[in-house]
Amino acid sequence: MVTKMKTIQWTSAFRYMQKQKAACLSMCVVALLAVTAFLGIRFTAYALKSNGNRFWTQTAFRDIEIVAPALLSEEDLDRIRATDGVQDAEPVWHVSATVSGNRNTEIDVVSLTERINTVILRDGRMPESAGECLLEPPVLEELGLSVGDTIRLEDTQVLAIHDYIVCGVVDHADHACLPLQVPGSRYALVMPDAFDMEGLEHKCMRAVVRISGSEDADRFSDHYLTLSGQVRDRLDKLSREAVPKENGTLLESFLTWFSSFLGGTRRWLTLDVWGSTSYYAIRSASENVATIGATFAAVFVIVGAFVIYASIRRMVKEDRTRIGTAKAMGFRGNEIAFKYFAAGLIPTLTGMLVGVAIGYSVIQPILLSIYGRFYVYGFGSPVFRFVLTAFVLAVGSLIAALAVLIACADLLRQSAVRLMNDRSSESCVNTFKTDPSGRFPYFRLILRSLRTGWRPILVIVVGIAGCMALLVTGFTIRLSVARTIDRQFTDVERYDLKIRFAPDAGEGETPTQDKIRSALKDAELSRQAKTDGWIELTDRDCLFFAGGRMNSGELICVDPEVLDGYFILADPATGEPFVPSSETGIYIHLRTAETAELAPGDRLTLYIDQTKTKLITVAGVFDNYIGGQMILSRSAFESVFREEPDCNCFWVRCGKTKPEDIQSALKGLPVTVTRATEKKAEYKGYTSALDMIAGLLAGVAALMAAGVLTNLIYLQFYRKKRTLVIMRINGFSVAGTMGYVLWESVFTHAVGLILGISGGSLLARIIIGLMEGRQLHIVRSVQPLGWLISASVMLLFSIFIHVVVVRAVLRLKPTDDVMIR
Amino acid sequence: MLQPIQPCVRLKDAVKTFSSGTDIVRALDGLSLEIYPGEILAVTGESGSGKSTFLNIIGCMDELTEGHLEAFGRDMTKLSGKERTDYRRLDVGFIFQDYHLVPELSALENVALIASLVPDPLSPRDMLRSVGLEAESNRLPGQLSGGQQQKIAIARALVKRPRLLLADEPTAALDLGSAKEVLSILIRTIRENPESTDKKASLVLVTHNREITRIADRVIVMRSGRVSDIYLPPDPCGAEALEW
Repeated sequence: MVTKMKTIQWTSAFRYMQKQKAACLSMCVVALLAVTAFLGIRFTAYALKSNGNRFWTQTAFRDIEIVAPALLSEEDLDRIRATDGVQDAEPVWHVSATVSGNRNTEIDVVSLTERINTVILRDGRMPESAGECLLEPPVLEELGLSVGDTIRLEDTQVLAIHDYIVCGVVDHADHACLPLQVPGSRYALVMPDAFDMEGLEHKCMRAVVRISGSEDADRFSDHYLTLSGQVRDRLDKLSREAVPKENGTLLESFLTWFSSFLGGTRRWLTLDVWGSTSYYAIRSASENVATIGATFAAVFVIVGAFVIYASIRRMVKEDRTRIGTAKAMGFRGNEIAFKYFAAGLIPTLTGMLVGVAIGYSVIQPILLSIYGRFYVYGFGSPVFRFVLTAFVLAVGSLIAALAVLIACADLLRQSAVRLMNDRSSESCVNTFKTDPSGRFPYFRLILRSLRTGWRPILVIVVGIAGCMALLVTGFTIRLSVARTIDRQFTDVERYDLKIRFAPDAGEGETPTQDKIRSALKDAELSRQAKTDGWIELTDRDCLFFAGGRMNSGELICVDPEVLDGYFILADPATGEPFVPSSETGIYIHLRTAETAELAPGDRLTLYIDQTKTKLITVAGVFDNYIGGQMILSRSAFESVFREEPDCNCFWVRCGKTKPEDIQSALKGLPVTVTRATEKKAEYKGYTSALDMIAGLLAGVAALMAAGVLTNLIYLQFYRKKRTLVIMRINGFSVAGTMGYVLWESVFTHAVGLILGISGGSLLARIIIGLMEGRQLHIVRSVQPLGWLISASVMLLFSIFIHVVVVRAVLRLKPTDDVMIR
Repeated sequence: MLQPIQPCVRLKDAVKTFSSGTDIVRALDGLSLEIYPGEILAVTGESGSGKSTFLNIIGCMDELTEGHLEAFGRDMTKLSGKERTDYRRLDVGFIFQDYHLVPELSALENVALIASLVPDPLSPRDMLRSVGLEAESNRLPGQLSGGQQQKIAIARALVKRPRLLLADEPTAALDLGSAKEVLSILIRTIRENPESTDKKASLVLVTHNREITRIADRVIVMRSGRVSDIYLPPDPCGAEALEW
């Protein structure tokens, strides 16, 4: 008997779902889209980290890197190896060099290691002699080289050999990201013997360290970061424990000890994984993706819950009398509700399961292929997380069940008599005079409808607002990112060319700097002219310690008076340009100030090259969008570092001269020329992934809007169907009945769109705030164009659906059955 | 010595009020009545006299404002919601004017659905056969006439062997021929019940059609929420003899 009951109840439930297939399909689609977007993006976030971890495990990536301006001796290495928590340490020799050739390229020459920070061979073979080298693919590509070619490396007298045969192509542990994501020099890897060991007294510039227990570690986990942080701190403390000089005087030893006691001097810099720009880039990418996905998913869930609620509510209200009959027959509340729970949960669960499949097999691969352009290992491997998936399915089912419960609970609580006898309060037409002319006589009817039917109207408004918010969020993010890049090159960086060179490069007696000046003068440019000229400055990479961690930056040393026209410093609060004036302080950009919690007057430790380290005061903050520029006047540099900064960079405004003409004029000189357009394209490359994700989510939101609008407009129409038929019976014209339906639509859409714009702009602001990195400040203003596009999409769908509804209204006949059965 | 038959349902001083804006409407105003096993009781009266309210009260579809209801030995005024549902589930069969069949289930499935509520129902197929609709077992309600639908509703009500059958204007929407068929089935169900006297099912039939009251054992006339008259039909007959 129980089996029979269940069978018959299931039969009834499935037949009912077939009858309500439009609503069930709507619920299924909404659940599908929400889970597709959320899990697809979430899996991608996990995959980005997982693929990074896999690469670093393959290459035995260092947990700690030690950079020693004063070089590391074997004793230092022994002390490092003996530190608690250190499993192994290897020495690394490293020097910056220039590859001589058609286009001079800056390159880092690094010694091969055996156990830590190793390479993955892509082509060729490992070096067998000191005269052979391995190159990373970006170097090969930039120089147009292949295995077997010869290159000449010009350096600052650290290399014993200068000509190398390229014997292989490798990926190195330090560069999981390609230059598109993490710009900067790439490596030429040589055997340690290639370095002048005698000249270096067998001391090395760096050490790479593995800590105990990190073999298969998840480098993004808190546990790993805590573990490595502890070892980092020990090594940092060791770096401050001075080693008395051999044969030094007692006074020298005392002064050295006193200096380390004060904590002022470090023998080396200790960098954990955060010191790796690739690590930071992969982590940021993963977290940005996860943030966007989670935030959109929250809105998807709200909209989805409302759709389920609205659909079930409509069904239950349609079935008032039937529910009353069932109660009269002796059915219990849970037995009556079973059908509605089935109608709500089965489509939702089906949609979610399909969404899991699409998220894993479609969305994730699309996103991984977008991000794959940034990593040396490309696409990597997709991931699937069972626990997360089960959690999502459970939560989704729970939300659907709650929505169904809320939708039908109050009706199910009502007595059988009330359910069977009470009619909807919708039919208030009889209280108004009819006006068959079709003019607008039913203002009071519309108002009454809005008042009495406020719950379903609220559902419709929230549904429209939710979809609109998602669209506005997606388009706002896309437009903000695009404007960010544009503003960087209109409001901040105004030069057309950046010419970099080694300060002491140049053959013969004429320094490279003079040759560049000469070429620019020949191009009819004037020094320090604002629109067609150039300025000379120092532009070098640096590190600074602030906010509890090491950060990278780009130090610009230049006379402040000449900056105008080339690089605009604007006050973040007012937007007004200002000229930096500090004699001793450094100007940092807004995101640095925000992330490192620095304000004017604070101090940070600045590290330049491997030899210059100073505590410096923050003089001011300027607004910037992309990049890690820090501005220091030449006099301030001299004041702090007690030496003049070496000029190694020209910023050029070409004016009427074509940039390519200037590039041609500089051909043959040992310089690297970068055009602003190339840099802009590079930045667009960084942000393209985020841009595409925002676009993908906006697309999903548009699809959801179509499904939601279909459901809600149908709900709206169904509420009025009885009234519409009675209106027709009483003589209202077709236009009159249509107007009654459409005016409420106008109201709900207007309110929904306005709320959606507000909500979407706020949501976008939140996501943008979470997406911004240490060197990325996205435009935070509202995007009216995004509002317009979103509203257009919504209205387009809505108009199409209303056309269908209006056609149904046109087909209504006075003989249509108005009784709910 | 014969024992007097005890009423299966006893209503005493029943009051049921409804609020309508600021007014209070007394749908039942001190109604007292007893229903006996195996009897056909017709309840008639003008619109608004409280007939349907009376039916809803004894069927536990609604609760009394004041007064006392006893059914099958239990004080119904003290029952919980679940107990009231169980009473309707096991002891009461409803037949409505508008049939209220489940549109997506076939005739047989509609009867089987209610049969599934009780531990020892009659055979749904037998019930359909008893109302002459075995051939229509697989048809949906929308494919059947009003009379056929009402017969299915009767079969549905009877399949769970109710002790109290409540019919609210069961023939109001039917033509004369169909109405007679429906009433015949109801009469046959009560009269041919093989149960012992005190376990026989009773039929309470609400109707505004005085002609139909001729099939009843007793006729109750209600006015303003009270019993205004109780009488035995002066000219009793079977359903086939009715004419209106």
